[in-house]
Amino acid sequence: MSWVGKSLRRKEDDRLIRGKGLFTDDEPADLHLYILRSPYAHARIRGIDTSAAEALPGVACVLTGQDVLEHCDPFMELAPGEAAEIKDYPLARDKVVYQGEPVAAVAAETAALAMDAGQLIDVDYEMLEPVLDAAEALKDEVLVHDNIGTNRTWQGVFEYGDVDQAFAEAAHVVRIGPMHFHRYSSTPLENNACIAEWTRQGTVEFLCNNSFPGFAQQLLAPGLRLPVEKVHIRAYDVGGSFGNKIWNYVYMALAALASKKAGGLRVKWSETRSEHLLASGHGNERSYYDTEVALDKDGVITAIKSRHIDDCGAYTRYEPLGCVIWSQVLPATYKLRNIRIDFSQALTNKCPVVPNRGYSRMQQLWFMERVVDICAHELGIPADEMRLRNYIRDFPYETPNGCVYDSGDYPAMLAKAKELIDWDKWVAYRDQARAEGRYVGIGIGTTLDSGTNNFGQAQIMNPQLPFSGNSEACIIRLDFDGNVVVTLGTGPSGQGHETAASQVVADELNIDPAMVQVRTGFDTAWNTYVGHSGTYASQFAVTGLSAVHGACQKLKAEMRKLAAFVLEAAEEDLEFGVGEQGPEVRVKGTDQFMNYWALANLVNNNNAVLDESLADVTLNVRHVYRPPFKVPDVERKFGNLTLTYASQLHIAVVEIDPDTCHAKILAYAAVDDCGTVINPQIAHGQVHGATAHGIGAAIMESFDYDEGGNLLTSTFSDYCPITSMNIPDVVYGNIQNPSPFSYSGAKGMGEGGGAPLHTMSAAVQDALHGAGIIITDSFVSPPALHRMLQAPNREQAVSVD
Amino acid sequence: MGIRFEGDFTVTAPRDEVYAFLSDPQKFAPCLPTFQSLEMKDEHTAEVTVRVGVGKIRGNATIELRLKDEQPPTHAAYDGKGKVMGGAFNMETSFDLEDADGGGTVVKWVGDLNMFGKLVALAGGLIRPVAKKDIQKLVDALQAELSGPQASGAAG
Repeated sequence: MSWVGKSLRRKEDDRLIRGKGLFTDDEPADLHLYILRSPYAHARIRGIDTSAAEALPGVACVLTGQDVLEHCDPFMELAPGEAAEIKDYPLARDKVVYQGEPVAAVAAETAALAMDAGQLIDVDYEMLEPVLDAAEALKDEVLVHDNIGTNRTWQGVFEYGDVDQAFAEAAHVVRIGPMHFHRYSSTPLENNACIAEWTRQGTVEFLCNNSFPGFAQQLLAPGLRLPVEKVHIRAYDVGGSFGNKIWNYVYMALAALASKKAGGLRVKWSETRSEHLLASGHGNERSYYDTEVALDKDGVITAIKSRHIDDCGAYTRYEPLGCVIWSQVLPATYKLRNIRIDFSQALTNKCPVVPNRGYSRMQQLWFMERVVDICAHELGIPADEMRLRNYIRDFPYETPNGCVYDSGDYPAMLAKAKELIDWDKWVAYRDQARAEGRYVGIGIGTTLDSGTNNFGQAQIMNPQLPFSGNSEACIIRLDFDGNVVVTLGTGPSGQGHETAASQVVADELNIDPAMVQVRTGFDTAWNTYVGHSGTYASQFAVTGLSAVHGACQKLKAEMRKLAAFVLEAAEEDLEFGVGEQGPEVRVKGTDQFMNYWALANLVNNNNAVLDESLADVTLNVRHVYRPPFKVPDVERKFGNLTLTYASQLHIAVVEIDPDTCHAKILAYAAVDDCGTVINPQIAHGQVHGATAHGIGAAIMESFDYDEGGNLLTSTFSDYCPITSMNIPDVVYGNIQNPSPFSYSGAKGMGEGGGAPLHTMSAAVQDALHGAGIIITDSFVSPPALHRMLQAPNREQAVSVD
Repeated sequence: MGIRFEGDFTVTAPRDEVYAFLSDPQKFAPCLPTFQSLEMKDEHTAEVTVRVGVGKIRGNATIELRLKDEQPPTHAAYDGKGKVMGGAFNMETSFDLEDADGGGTVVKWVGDLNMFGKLVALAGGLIRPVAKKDIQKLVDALQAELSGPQASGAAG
């Protein structure tokens, strides 16, 4: 019997649904931290008076920029050149560079008292002009960080094939005006939180919900001037991350400093929702300029050239990695070979960006889908036909920049999605509605979810970075009672790792998943982990489960060796099976066996009977999985950047109400291909969640700043996350093209690639193309559509030669 | 987020008297509808505390108000900056005085308010209507101080 491929009920759900989960904020602490944040986007700090706050009874300590200067070093920067000199501390020192930047912090006996004390801190600001547009920022007229002399964090040209020749030979050239991918963030249910204790032994103990603790530890330790082994990070249940919680180490450092100043008391910081929206980290905002597309007479795209500017906000943190990550999906799902993209990134006086579900790739995928749809509309080719003429067909497929798409069948996904949504019916409906003057459109979005990064791509961005490859670790132990205990290299944030890992172990060891205990949460003190360990970039199904699978093989080898000795049989004569006493190792064709309990007991309690040759058998094994990556050619920006490429294809039918300008979704289909599916219910849930996040992002969620750098959407009143009331019924389908590069054929699939954004833009454009509208912004909210209907843009947005 | 308010109103007092009143924070500040307290920092600078209740923003706001331009008896200008929980604001306001037909003084005023921080997100959309109401109350109070019952005026 195979457990992989079955919708085993999630092991995690019992505790989570019954309220028995343990989240960081559930734990008590001695002190509570309040963070005073800058109301200004850009201002010089002329002075801070903390005396009134410090005098308030119950206040343990107040931290300012002076404290961080005395006790911290700036966090490591990944950027090369001038941007490497950005000084990123947990608190602002002499200048604030975005609204919501922490300026001071108060630790007090209660959260309310800390907040009250925070209001007594008097900060004297001198307002400065902010720079809020990335293209403007590149002019360097207003500097976000004065000491580096520029707002440009990175620039590079990604050029492949012969672009000029392709344009010279083109039957059509489509020129597209500026386009823009908006700022949003896939909000988790649980905000950031941490508890820090600076112990008398000089260690710092964290309970937190960081989702990339192996990375956080490497950043925190030098920042706090500690050796790595003195920074202990523990997490238990984490209520969603979507990339956001990778970077909350900045707040962890602040809580640690407060604990240090307060004499080692445990200090808790628990973020409010408006803090989360204001300052936790936004998704990358990107603008696209000077886009030109060459096509042959049949509408096959032969070349694209364009100039992209990414807005990373006020600090680089995980950036400028996003300047390269997008090139994992350089041509999207299309077969063109000639591409030139000039890519820059700029600092602005806005919230720093952090990886967000579909990080950096979905911005490129949205761009490519826009290009395909705009060209299709302008050349009069139906959107489905346009895609069929341009899709990549043969796999594995090496992209122009050396990435290898492992497997897929995009035409089959399109056919399946059309069948699921009843394509012909909706086409007839759309045509009839148009005849009646209504705005009905059908949109297709094809997207990729590239999983398991090759960290060597960081060297394309900065050749000095000591990162490459990828890895994940697992320890597996046959316990005294014959059950199996699994320790993963990282903790999940809702993905169901305990369940999926149990299914893999159960299959490998012929046991019921109930006999597999996957330890919950993560603790640097007892988890095995590597520098790449973390829940990000759609990698668990491949890296995490490959580590589990590899550990199972090692354990089985030990069990076989042990059983061979006891049963006096050759190892090749043994087989794993289930007997009357449960799982066992037995001699084929005989009644001789050793059950798992007996094997474990031999090693742990009855080992005097064992031979010297079994000294290395512990039944407690560690395995580190390393994908077969090479360091990319950084000069050519060429190499395999990702191991697997799951794909999604969505179709939406929308009708735009001419009075409210709301794009109502009449039907929605989502087809997913993540290779071999470990647990169909979990995979379905991932697709559903990613679809909800994407639809929310497309029509409801946007971080809008005014001209002064005020975030106008910092509460759920204005930043409206999608709810069950807004999401349409999603007809779900799945096809499975196993990856040849993972042991199971699975591909990572947690991010969804932003498919609904592409799909909604395409559907809205289809509805409004007749009204002279080209969709050039990923946010198609009612106000945005109203503006477009008032001022159709087609003449300015596109031209065809 | 910036908002401009402007308007005019008429009082029966002569220009000199109106100027003296409006250019002295100790006299006009108590006319603010939510006035709590005032402390003079120097001859031209006052720290005024008012009660704020706009949307979800509740509490006291302190404003440092500085008389930056004096041209008696026709024109004066203030600038100010203040803070309220989670937010901050800057303001510039000025008034010009003209003799009214038939006696009294016409007060032409303009105010520019710039807000920053949570104040904008939580109360931005409500500021204009609330401010209009408060300005009308201020005008009414000033007229009561500087006029007889026949005066009239409106906030812009």
